[in-house]
Amino acid sequence: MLRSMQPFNYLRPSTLSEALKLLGDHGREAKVLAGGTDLIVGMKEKGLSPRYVIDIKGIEGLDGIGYDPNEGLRIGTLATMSEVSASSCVREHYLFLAHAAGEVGSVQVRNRATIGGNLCNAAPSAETAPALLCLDAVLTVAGPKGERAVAIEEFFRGPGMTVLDGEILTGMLIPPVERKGIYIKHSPRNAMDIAVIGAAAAVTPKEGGWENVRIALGAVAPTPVRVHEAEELIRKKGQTKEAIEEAGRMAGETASPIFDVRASAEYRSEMVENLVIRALSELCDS
Amino acid sequence: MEQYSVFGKPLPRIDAWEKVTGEARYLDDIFMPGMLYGKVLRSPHAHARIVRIDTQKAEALRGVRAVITHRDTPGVKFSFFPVFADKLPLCRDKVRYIGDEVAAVAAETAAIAEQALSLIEVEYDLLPAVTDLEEAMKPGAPLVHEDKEKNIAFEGHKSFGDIKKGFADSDYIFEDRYVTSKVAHCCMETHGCIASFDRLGKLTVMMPSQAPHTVRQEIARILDIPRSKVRIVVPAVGGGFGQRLVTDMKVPAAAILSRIARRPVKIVNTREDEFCTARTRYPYIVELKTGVRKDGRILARQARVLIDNGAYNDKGPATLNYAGECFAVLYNVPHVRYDGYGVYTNKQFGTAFRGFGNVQVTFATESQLDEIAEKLGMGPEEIRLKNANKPNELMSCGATVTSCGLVECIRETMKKSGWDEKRKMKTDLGNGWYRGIGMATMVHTGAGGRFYGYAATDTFTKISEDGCITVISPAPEIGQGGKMVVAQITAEVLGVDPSRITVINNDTDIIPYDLGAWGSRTSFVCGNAAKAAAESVKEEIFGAAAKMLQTTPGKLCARDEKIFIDEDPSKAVSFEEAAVYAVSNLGYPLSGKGRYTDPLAPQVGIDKKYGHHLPTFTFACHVVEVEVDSGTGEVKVVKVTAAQDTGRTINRHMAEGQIEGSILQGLGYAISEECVEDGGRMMNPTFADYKIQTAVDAPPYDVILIETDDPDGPFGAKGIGEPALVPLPAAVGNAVYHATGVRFKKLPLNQERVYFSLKKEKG
Ligand SMILES: Cc1cc2nc3c(=O)[nH]c(=O)nc-3n(C[C@H](O)[C@H](O)[C@H](O)COP(=O)(O)OP(=O)(O)OC[C@H]3O[C@@H](n4cnc5c(N)ncnc54)[C@H](O)[C@@H]3O)c2cc1C
Repeated sequence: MLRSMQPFNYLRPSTLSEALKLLGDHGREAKVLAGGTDLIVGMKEKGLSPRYVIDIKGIEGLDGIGYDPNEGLRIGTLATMSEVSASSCVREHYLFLAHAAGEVGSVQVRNRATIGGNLCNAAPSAETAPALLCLDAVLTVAGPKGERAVAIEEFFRGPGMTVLDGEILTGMLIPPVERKGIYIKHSPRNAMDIAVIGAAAAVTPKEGGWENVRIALGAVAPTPVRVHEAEELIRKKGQTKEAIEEAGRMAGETASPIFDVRASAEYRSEMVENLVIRALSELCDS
Repeated sequence: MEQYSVFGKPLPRIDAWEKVTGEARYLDDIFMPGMLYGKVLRSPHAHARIVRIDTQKAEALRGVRAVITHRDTPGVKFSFFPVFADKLPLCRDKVRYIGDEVAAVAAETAAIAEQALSLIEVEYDLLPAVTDLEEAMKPGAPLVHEDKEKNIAFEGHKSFGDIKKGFADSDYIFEDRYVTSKVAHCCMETHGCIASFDRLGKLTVMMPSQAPHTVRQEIARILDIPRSKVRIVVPAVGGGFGQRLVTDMKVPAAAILSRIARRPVKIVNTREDEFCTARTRYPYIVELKTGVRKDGRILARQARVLIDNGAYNDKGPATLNYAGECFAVLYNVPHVRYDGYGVYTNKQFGTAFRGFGNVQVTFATESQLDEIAEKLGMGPEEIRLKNANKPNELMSCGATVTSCGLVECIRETMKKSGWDEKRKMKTDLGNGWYRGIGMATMVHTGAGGRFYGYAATDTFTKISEDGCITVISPAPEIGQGGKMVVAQITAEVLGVDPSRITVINNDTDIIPYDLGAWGSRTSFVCGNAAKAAAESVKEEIFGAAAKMLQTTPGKLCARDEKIFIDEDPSKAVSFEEAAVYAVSNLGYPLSGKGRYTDPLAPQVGIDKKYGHHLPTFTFACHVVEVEVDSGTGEVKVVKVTAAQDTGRTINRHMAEGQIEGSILQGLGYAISEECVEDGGRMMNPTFADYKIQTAVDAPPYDVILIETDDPDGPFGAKGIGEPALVPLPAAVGNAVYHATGVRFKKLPLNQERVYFSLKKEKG
């Protein structure tokens, strides 16, 4: 139910170390604020009531998107969905990630929502997670003891839970490996909608076949997940129609989708199968 | 020269500026000195006895100014129709749905009011709830209203011709059952009010309303005070769609709180309150039996209609009756029988909603008609053209059709959509995708109804000393353009630009008595009265102009802000000069009064067995093109071609706006929207989970306006606010059938339902 928000202290540090100090001081009573499109909704509707809200938008160097042929694609945590979807670096190298970011909410939401917030919020349906899983993104995390790198597959711990421990996500790096990919968001309408299923697949096309086969799903398990068995199968059997269908079935079986008012579990698992098949088939044809 | 210089033109609305600049003030923008914030405590149970209510702790909370329960109300039961009264403003012995009003508080802030609610202790004794319509009809089902013998709240029957003979003469008989869903209006602005009692006992309620005089009567009834002690003032309104016709119990609650606290009290729904308690469209089960001759002529039509009424009556009896009226007149069927039952369940109750029962029944009739056509080897268009009403036809119900563009609507949508070619195109697109095209038609009132034995209204128009015009009209402005309709008609009569006109329409102490905006009646009823008022003031200003031009009023003409001699337009004065002349030289201001009356209305009240409740009919045909993805169940509507009989279009932009909005709302009803309920609890009371169609979901539209020149409408116009939603669900179902060969008899055609149905039937 929509409630009046509880009072809180709004803090706006201008450096990362200051922000980490505040986070350390206030511990569980503090929440990091990026675009606020999840946090504020949570405070109004889901009974979240942090006493301290630490806005990180005043900190320099957490935004921006850049590509370096040796290092790869670097995306700052504060890059908005609009920036990611319009970025020429992203579009040139990993078009399907731009496409996924462009599927979030609406124009207004995308202008506000950050890619880092999308990951840290750790919804099973987080729009950019499947594509980033397919791209082997490495997240950079700053904490009181310094910086560490976390593979995206290690990042999510459960619905709304991540490995962050008094830490701040500063950005992510996508290794400079050639990929073509696809992201399919399945939802009842074309805007302002949470994915019933998000399915991403990416490969590195090589002479006579595919390398780096990645299949990842959103909204089918407690966290966004990769489907290793299905990837393995395609790697072994190649991109035949039979293999693709078997991979789809496998993905459908491994998924442990929830059921809620948006869709039944039965429908969701059938969609996993169909959409994985569709994603892989489209990669074959493209 | 064109016949009209203002009427029919796609002019910008006179209220557009205040809306786009944010100047228009909605309820939420309004604060009154000393205003308190009210909240309503609602039942968390679908069905329970109230054992005890203790408000002491809430009353003791700092900042709380009043706490009320049923003890503070006069205890008068209420319903839209007094004979069906069944709802107390605050529950006394029992709660009957999740959301039923139990108590209310007023406090200095909304947060204090909310906290106070949590301090009210209510002890409930849970009762078995009945939440399924058919379960509720079974003997032994828990009684929603313990003082009634059964859960059947009301019945309605209509019979014209001889149904037995009709079926006996038929070559084929079709019987099907259709089920429609519960959907919400989703007005942009939620319900709310500010009630304030003054020291003399007069109550002023500010609230968005579609029918301020009706609300005035209702509040007087509930509070047991004279109508003269109630004044309703309507601020800018964020959408109505039928949801703002009948009083919501927040209003009497706010009024009583205000009387006790001696301060104005504002109560506004949150979106969740709105979804759970603001009332919905009635879900129907329609058992339809149709008899046809081999050549496609429909001879007999019989429907048994069950309405899931929810916990209280509201507009249920009226939608049941109205759907029966339309059932009897869509095609000219000689033998008709209609039996309807409204059934109580322990759920949120329904109310009026654009389409008003007609859309539910039309989903059944127009879906089945396609099946009939297929059996008879006819095209969907062929069977419709064969049975379509034509102007001046006398129908079995006793009514005569006046203006009627049904045949043109069908032919024009076919032409514009490329129907003939597209019906023949391959439907299987490969990869599990299918394409199809389908149509549906409808009839609806174009002028409200005579149900209440009264269908008249007045309008007053004055011309000020500077030539500006004020029209005092009861035409509600709920976003649909009621003000502009009045302004444009007035401007046509007086030959001026509509920007010269101000419309005052929002205060029951000022405006003439009227029934409000429903049944597409505003343009017709208020439009006719505005036209008459403008004609009357025109006589006055022509009197002044005639003196100035040294001629007689009969020789004058008004157009383009001028009054001139018809035979010699160079002899002219400006409209403004004439107004100034009247005041300065003749010594009097200018004013006029107009009236629309419907002499038949007092003779055909709802209790009279008569088929002619609708002053005029409007018709439409929609053609919908879809692509269906059998891999996900998605129904993608790729094009809608809609032809609407408008009588005469008053303003093309507004007409198209009404039709496009109806289509999108209808599409939501057809494919994505549904109030999902579990044990009487709404499970998706947010816009994240309740899926209305958004701007980017809107398909391309082709809107065709068919002008039939209604003999009784103002300049030939009839209303079109409601009807364009009516054919949509059936047209979508027919298109999906054409695409896939699978027939859907249950709404909505959402992804999951379509996916599993296609999988089952096509493998
Ligand atoms: C109307 C609407 C529609 C939406 N539609 C979609 C959709 O289609 N798909 C989708 O995936 N999401 C959707 N969302 C959810 C939301 O917009 C996204 O998840 C968005 O990316 C969150 O980013 P943000 O910057 O607004 O995060 P915030 O709300 O600021 O933060 C989200 C969470 O992450 C934490 N956080 C943020 N940044 C950091 C950081 N750098 N380090 C540590 N913790 C951090 C915050 O403390 C908070 O717990 C929608 C939201 C709304 C309101």
